[in-house]
Amino acid sequence: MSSFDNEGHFQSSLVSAILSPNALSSIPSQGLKLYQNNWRENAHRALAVAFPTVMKLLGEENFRRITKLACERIAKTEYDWGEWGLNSQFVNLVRHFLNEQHVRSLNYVIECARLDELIFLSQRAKDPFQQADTFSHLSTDKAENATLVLSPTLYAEKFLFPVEKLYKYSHFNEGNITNLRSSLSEPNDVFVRISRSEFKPEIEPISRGEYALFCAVKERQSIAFLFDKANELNIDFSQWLGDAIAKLLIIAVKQND
Amino acid sequence: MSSTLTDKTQTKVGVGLRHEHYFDALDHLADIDFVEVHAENFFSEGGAPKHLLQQARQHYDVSIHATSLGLGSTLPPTLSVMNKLKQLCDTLDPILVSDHACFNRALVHGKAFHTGDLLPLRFNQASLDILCQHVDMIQTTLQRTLLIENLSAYLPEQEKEFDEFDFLARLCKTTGCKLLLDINNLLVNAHNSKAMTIQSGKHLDSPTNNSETTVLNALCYLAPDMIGEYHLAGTTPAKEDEIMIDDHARSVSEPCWSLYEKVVAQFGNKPTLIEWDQDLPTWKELVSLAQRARTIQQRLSKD
Repeated sequence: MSSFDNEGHFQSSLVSAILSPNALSSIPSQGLKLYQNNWRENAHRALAVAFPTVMKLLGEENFRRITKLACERIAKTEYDWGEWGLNSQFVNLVRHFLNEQHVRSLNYVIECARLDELIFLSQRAKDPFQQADTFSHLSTDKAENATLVLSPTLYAEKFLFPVEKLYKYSHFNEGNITNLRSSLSEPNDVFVRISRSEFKPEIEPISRGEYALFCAVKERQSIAFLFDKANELNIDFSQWLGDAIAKLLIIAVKQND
Repeated sequence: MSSTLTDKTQTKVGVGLRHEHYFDALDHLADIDFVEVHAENFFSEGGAPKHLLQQARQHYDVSIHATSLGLGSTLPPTLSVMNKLKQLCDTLDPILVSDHACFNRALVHGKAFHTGDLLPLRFNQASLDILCQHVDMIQTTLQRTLLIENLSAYLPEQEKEFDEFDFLARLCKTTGCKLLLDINNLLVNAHNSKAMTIQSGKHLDSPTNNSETTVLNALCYLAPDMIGEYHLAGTTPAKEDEIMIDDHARSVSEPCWSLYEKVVAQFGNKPTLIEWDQDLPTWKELVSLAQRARTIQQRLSKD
């Protein structure tokens, strides 16, 4: 074995021993335990920042149990702890944890995990910068070839429970708990917009029609298509677009040649 | 390659800027020269932290302290992380850029894992070659001199070819990088070395030898121009036979101040930073520690 390979072997052994606390290791136990503990605590801190609603709803003890699962099952490959557990990986673990506990009545927590992830992504996304000069394309007669550009902070999503109410109740004690509880017994489609014009995330319920329009914008459908779609959905397109531009949800118009 | 360490910066003092203090740092401008931020907290594309840091940048110089590059890993740093760091440096024009003499990424069952920690290197030629190669990569990418911090470690010393500061001095000579000398890490390691000897039931070589003398002797490999910055911090105390954790959860300890004075007397004034990462004090108290470092620097430069 070359000296380079020897270092690689040493490093792999230590990393493996840290990530697999139950595996046998020749590394002295007290120091190793400290690194293993660091790994779990850093993981807990990162997930608590990214999924605060899940932690509020399940409590610290249960959240730590899911963190332990995450440490075992979600590979940390990126440098930034902020990128760990995203792409629905932690969401799926919450689902798995609740299934294992046989608590289907808490399925709304899975939806809140989805919401947390989207808020976290929105907060880290590029700040919305409106390219006002491109809106002049709206007055041209080339609506067939023009598309709208969404703010990078915007997510329009369908959920199965009123996650925006759960979020506001969990973090700001807003809303009526009796009404909220009754809405959690059965899943029902709820549409929510997550975005930020400056730095504070906005989590707002939207109609099914608005959701459909945002999806069409995301799919880069032409403005002509959006106009027809809005008519079909009984939405005043001009008013909807004006609001979306004013709220920095639409940041530019792109003329496609 | 231009060094960002000019004579003027040598007497600078600063504090670690953590998010709890973002608004205080802007509302109560402090008589300090720079703030240090962790690079990874600003790797996202946008958001409030970046905006606040841009505002702070108008009042203070910035030092970028990376904690995740793991330049001693046998796996090279990815292009993506190097680009993120470069972008941050290009935006903020920091007076200092640093990371640690450690590794944190490795292949496990053929897949590259990142532990998110600072893991100790073995002080041998192979490990030195790897670290030099990766420090070169970063310096070339950033077109800046990198500072490398000595680590606090919690494992018994591995089989080695070099003493720690012989290893680090060789790193500086080979790559032109400089050392970020963390004074508290020196004390933590001296304590832990003794604690691990007691735990193992081995005989302590010189039980009466104090940590300060041991540490100063260990620095004999260093020349003054190899050091680019000092870090000062405090940790939760530990019993003699217990491992001490470098938790940055207390004020700078008196032993740390005492050792700082002796190190400055020997190696000269360098930009000095107060690190405090957990159970943070008020902004005012944090800044007062930087003022104390400045007073020491001024007194010693007159002697």
